[in-house]
Amino acid sequence: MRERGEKALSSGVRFTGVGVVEKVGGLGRCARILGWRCGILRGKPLKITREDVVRVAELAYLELSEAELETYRKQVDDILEYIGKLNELDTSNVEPMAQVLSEEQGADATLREDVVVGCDLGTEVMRGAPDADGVYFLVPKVIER
Amino acid sequence: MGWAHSQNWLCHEACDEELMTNWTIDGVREALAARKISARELTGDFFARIKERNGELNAFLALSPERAYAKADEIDAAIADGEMLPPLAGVPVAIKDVLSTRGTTTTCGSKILENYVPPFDATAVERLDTAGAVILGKTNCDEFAMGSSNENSAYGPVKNPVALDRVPGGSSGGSAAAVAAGLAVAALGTDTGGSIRQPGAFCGVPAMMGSYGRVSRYGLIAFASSLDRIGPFANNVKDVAAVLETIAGRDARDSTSTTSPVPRYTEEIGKSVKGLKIGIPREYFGAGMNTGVRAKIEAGMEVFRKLGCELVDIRMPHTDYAIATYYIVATAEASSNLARYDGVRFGLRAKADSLLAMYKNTRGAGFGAEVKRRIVLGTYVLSAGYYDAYYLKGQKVRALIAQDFRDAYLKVDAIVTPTSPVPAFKLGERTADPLQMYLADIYTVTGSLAGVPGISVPCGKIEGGLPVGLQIFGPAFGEGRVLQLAQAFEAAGGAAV
Repeated sequence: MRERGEKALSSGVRFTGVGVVEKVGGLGRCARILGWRCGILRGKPLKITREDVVRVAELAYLELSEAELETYRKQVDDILEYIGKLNELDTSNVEPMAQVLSEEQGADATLREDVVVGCDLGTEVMRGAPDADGVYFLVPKVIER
Repeated sequence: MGWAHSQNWLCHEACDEELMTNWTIDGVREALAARKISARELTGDFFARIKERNGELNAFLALSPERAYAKADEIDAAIADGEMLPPLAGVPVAIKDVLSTRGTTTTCGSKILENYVPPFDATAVERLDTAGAVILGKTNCDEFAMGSSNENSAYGPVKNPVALDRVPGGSSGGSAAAVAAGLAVAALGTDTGGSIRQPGAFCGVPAMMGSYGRVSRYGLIAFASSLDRIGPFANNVKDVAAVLETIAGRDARDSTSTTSPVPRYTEEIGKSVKGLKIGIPREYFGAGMNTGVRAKIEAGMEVFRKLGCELVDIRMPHTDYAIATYYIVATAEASSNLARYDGVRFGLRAKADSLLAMYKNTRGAGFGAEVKRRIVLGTYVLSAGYYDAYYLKGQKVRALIAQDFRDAYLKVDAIVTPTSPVPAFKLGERTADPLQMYLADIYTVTGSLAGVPGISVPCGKIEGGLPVGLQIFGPAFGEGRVLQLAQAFEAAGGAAV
């Protein structure tokens, strides 16, 4: 398995160890400008910088510790490096596969009448909420400033 | 098998533990009908076995004895009244903890849903219930079904009953281990990139995912919606067929479940497979494949030849791109599906002064490392500036992989491959390097991306008694053919090659 992994990795974009990445780690902006945008940083161009991870974590509303930021940056960088092998394929004339089922497989059944149906789970749902008054979910105050 | 479990009920009181692991659906039906055991007694026996083994295996996260005994009593009453029994009457089953079960905690193997109790049943669960199955409880799994070893569960890893120092596979490791250890007659798992078939292979039990759209996913807590599928584990192929035909079919509550009719799979099996063409894709026998696994799969191919099948050398040229494609598509969809865990309506809520901090802290505290890693990757590949380079590219290559399958089925009736390049690995062996863990799914993700049905059937054991799984893919909605081949293979001694 390991053999195969490494072989597969070497067949894609050049894979180097994490050493170079670590050297660049503290220079997020620099790495992004020089490494990712221009691809001229020595060794391996960074696919994802620390700043990228910070931005992505903001988008995903995900609190990450400093240690997590660095771990994920490194690991996601390796994975993106591997994913880079897809660029070996010319897909300019390929339609993206946006859904799995074809019409003859029953995809035509996906539209239904837009009708209101009853659902009496309200009380149980509210009971499962972390904080609720029985009718509304309660959250920290949002209207301020 | 028939003989083995007919012995079961004869020696019920002082039965040999070994024999008790071999209950099948037919065995349960016969034993109940002959009144050799009651459904309540059988249920009690299974809970006793779970109590005895679960401390070491960690296969179950929650048990539902109230519900199980109520169902068992209902079956016993029906037997007493001489009523017709439903097809799975009294059959003890286990449910992967990503499937909603009314009144029983459903955690997805995550801290973020630690105390979540769904107010409704998933359709697949409801259909098992209606068919008379006794739902024993919920099985452990990788958090939100993300993993290939079960080591990503927030509630500790499952041990492989075949070798306790090894992983059961993942993400449906608890379901596979429960069936393999005789703690359930059948179990439901879910498969997004191999999460039913690979643990089936690692634990030595048949395990199947039907075509995309075959089984309703209403009540399945979503990971990647264009890939997730629900399917069965059991002790033999016929039982896999019986569970699949019970849960399959259109459900108005899941718009991706198709109207395509559901054949009686239990009646499709047993027919001759002579003359069927089986494609053997060269790309699935690459470097890095364990030599013992290779030898067993080759012996398995010989079984099909002896059954009169024609083995055809085929090419599936985009196979090597499947892992890369999968980890774009699956993580992108996961990042979107997991946005719902915000601490507002259910599950964990972390303390915070503002709403935004509440979201962030809840998600930061509630999700484990693999889930966070995938949210980061998935959000990144969907984010402005990278969408075309990653997500769109992934969707295009996915189309090529699906085309590989359609091309192959112009020439052959089914495709046979190894389920996994390696047997069950040791606990902790692969946790340090996520990419290495992802590559373990190399032979299963292709069929996931293409939407075709696939089964893993036991195909001998290598050194140390570790099971090997042989995978059979069929064309979309060709489950009957897949099961027919799998059952013929099993009947021809495939499990002991």
